[in-house]
Amino acid sequence: MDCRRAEELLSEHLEGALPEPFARELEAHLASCPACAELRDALREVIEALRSFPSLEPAHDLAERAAARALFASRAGRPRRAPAPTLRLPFVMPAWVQAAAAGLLLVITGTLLLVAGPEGPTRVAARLVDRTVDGGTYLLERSDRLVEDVRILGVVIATAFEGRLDRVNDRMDDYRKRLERRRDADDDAKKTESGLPAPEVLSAGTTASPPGPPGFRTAPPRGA
Amino acid sequence: MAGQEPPEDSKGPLTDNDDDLLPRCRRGEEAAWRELVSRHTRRVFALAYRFTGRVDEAEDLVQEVFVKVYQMLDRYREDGGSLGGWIMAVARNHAIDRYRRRRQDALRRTEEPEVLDRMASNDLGPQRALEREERVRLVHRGLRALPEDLRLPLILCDLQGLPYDEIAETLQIPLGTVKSRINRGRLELAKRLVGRRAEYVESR
Repeated sequence: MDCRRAEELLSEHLEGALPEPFARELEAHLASCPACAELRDALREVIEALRSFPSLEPAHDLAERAAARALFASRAGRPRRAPAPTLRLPFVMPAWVQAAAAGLLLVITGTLLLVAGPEGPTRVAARLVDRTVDGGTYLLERSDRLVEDVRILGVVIATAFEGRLDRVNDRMDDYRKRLERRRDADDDAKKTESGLPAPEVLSAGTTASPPGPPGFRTAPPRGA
Repeated sequence: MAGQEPPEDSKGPLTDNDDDLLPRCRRGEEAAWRELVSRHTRRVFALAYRFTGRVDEAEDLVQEVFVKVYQMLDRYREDGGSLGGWIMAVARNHAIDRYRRRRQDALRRTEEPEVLDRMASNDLGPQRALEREERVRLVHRGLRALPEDLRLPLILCDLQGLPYDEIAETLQIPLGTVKSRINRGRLELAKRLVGRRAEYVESR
């Protein structure tokens, strides 16, 4: 055995893990080589020195500091809480995006029904698609009107809370007139755009009926 | 590691039953979290101190480990072993990552590790104690100067008391490589010791 091979085996030998034939051979080399024997002694001291690394008690307030820092770090980032049972989106989705997504989903569903429905293309599915698209378009186009409606409603409720019932009636009259103006404007717009008369239900609607998606109100009864 | 006394961090904590604390910690109860940290700080600190050799660095490491543990608490699975064992694994991996990140700083560091001031030596005669202290000083200084691929297996083996197979798993290297690197690391230090002795003899 040469010195290089002896060096490779020294650690294992000191740990008592070297198989017998190698151990005997190594012992023979060490007996005849003072340099390797010195290295073995030094290696023994190295292992002893490494393993005698002193243990220290942590400072009495280290646990408190560590716990506080973890809490602080978590507050600075995402607060820790139990795993949420439902899916949470990592951002706030604008309402119009949600409406558009829902509409798109309905369109896809309707299309699938058309293509792969149990009885082939159905008129129900086609109407569903039409109305969904109409409804979504109306909501998007008339969002300004919805905002206005809500604002007027807020004024009416506030007036009612003040006990001014006469004023409430006035506000409701204002609102009714506003709805009539909107209906007339819609009728005019449709006539000028398509050259066709307005849908009969719209023109026959009462003045007090609230605004809504024309697609839903003009729809024929189910199964027609 | 025949005949080796188990190092500090392989001993169990005073109580290893964290079953009561875990769900409360996960719900965000701060008192439960403080109690959990208090139970495991001693072991994590012992590990950190062996890696760094300095109290201030070990304390930093402990705090970083518990920040990580808190963030990862939902990932711990009870059927994968005790919470204490999991925390120690997180600590060990973090210590290794941190060491690798700061390797260049550590290599440039010339100051003496604090640990040498704390060596207990009153069980030996004054002369032998001095020799032993000098030897330990040399070994620990040499350990800090070893290249990373030799130093980490040596810390995990002789300072942390990990068996070879766990070292292989922790460092993601083959078992044979672990054994040969540990042997080479120890040999490097032993040769420094022999060289120092030769210089000492020549100087007299």
